Amino acid sequence: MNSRGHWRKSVLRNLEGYLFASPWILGFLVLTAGSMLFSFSLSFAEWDAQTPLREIDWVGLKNYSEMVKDDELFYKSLYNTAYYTLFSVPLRVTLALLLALLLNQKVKGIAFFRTVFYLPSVVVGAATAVVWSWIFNPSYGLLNGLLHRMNLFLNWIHLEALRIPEPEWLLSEAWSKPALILMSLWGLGGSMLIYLAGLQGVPSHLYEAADLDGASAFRKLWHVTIPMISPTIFFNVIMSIIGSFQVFTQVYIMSGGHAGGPNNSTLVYVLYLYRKAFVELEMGYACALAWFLFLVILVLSVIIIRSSALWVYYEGERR
Amino acid sequence: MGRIPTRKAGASCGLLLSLLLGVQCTRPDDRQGKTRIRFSFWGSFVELQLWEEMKALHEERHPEVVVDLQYSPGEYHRKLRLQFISKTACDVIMVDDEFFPTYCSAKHLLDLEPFIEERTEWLRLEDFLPTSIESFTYKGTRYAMPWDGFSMLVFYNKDLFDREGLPYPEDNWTWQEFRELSRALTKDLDGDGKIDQFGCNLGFDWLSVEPLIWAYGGHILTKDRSRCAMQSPETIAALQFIYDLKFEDRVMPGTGELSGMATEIQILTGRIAMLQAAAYILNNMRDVEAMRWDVVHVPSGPAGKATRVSWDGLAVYAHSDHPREAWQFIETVLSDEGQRLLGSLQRAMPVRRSAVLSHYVTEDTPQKEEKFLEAMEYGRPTPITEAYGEMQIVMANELERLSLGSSTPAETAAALQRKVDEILADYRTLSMGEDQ
Repeated sequence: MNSRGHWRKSVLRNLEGYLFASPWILGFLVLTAGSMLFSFSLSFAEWDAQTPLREIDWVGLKNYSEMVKDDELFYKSLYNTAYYTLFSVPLRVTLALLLALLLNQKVKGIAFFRTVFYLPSVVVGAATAVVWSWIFNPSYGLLNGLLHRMNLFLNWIHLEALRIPEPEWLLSEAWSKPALILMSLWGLGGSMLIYLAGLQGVPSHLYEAADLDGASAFRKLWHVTIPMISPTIFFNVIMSIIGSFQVFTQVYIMSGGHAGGPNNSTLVYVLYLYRKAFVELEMGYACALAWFLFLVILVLSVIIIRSSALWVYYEGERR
Repeated sequence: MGRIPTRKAGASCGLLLSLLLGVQCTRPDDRQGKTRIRFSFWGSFVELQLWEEMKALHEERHPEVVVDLQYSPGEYHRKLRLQFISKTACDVIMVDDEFFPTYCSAKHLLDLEPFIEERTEWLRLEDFLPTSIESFTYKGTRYAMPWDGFSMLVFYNKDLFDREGLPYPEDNWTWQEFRELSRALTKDLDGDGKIDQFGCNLGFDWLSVEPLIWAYGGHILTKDRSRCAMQSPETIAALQFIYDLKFEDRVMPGTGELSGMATEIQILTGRIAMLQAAAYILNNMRDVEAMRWDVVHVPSGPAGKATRVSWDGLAVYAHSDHPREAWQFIETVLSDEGQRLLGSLQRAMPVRRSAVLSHYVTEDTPQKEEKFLEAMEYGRPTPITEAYGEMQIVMANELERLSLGSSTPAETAAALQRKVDEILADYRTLSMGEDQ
């Protein structure tokens, strides 16, 4: 059989698959691919979005070299984003798992609790950010109000040594990032739900076997549950990392517009990109920033995917 | 079963189609041969109402024209830039003095000189308040007409002064007296070790510190606006003054204190005694019954008295299909009736002195609106160039560092000098390239 016939046969065989994927493929080709190509070519140009495109200034690799060589804020924003990711991803992944374990118990009214914990994920990001910026308000906020009451109580029982600081949260350089990380935990519901689905897929005969062997609850978790849901953990880790490298809405709203303050301590990468593009109108530079971010996320994803062979267990896989 | 009868489907398709087409056809104004112009603006809901009244006034003056209002309460300039890129900006565009040079250099605004020349007599430019016309002149050409503006004054809470037995400030007071009064007015009222009443609250941002820098004899830019002028003993002294108010005297709220509370609310609730603010808060203050308040001129410094004025203007889009009709709308706003509408709103001052005197200053309120007019005489506009957007970011960031105590006044001035000069140098090479 010639290769052309072979190719045709393979397309026909997979036609249904292509049809199922077609909404995405069409969307990508029609809406995304063009913009991506355009932004890639813009990253080699200087364009202020005001002059006509035919007068565009092609500058080669200048945007990229400027970025790496003498842009303090590029490094600062990269640092801020890495900091945020480094703390928020492990926290989110672990807490969501713990929460899912808790909500996987056979207790009366469990559906209610599952709904309650998932609810925050339904609320729009912008609305959540506004509410949280009030929670973090140093003078009138809920959080410092609670801390203050606790401190008063500690004073009252003569345990002044245990007093907790009442930080200025979003207004302090030292506490602004921890505040954002704390807030990111609010949206755990999505990951939790995926874990929950993973947990329910663990066959009960494995637990029964472990019970017969006299395994403790912790051993069952460590040797049965976690290996069995490792593909779910893997998925959540990758999605969280991508998400936290692209964090924008909350920071944009909570740090007061394009400021990224105080003193650029919440200037995350995408916020900086936004500032370059839509405040300073350096579209070419912003595109270069975007493609660099794409590269960072790509490399990180590849590393995690490669490492997955070591720690992710697929039941149907041949070893 | 389950199949939609063909006739029914055809009918609903037809209905849908006619609805869609109907949207296109039922614009009665177009059918009557009227010209449609669009006007984009920002502002509060009160101002939205003003522009609705202005639209009615204009349509009465020009029955052949319909004005479409395009109101953007926030992110106005960002939206405007996108409209410029896609060539969909409105015929009449509200601009402020801050981004005006940026838009002019990108050739988005129409040269208004021919219209102004044609209507010189009607316009009576001598009736316009000082600095207003210059604020919208770019490289010798007028690209927008001012329509309202404001100056900065100091508002103070009379009740707090009375409680401390302090004399009210007088118009010839100095920044030193301002500082002493602030000290006397800063109190821990409930004795919990936390201050609950502050003497003042000055903003650590470009536009708020500017009057102080001027009063000390400093400048933001050199006279020809080609270089930064902030690394001077005068500017450093001014920055030191505001820095000391916050960190030495503690007479203004610390970084976390009173946060999330607008300064207007701070003075209304007695949390601060004095506030440097623009005329447009008069509107909010006027209905207050819980406290007695008044206004006084900004204090003088070693180099005399200085305050800031700022203007809003109206421009015509360079690619408008109806430039003449757009200009006529500007004329309506500048007409006596239009200016009267503005004056009665008492947001900011109408640009015509006659309208300020007849409608902005009112006899029946105890507060002295005429002081805002007086301040217009000695007030200065911010030196603005095409680099405003970028300069604004650098200024905000460095002054924020000062407000956090992360840098000293001298370091702030040095950093601003270096960074602003860099930005301006970039723009110089850019405009040299254009001239060639």
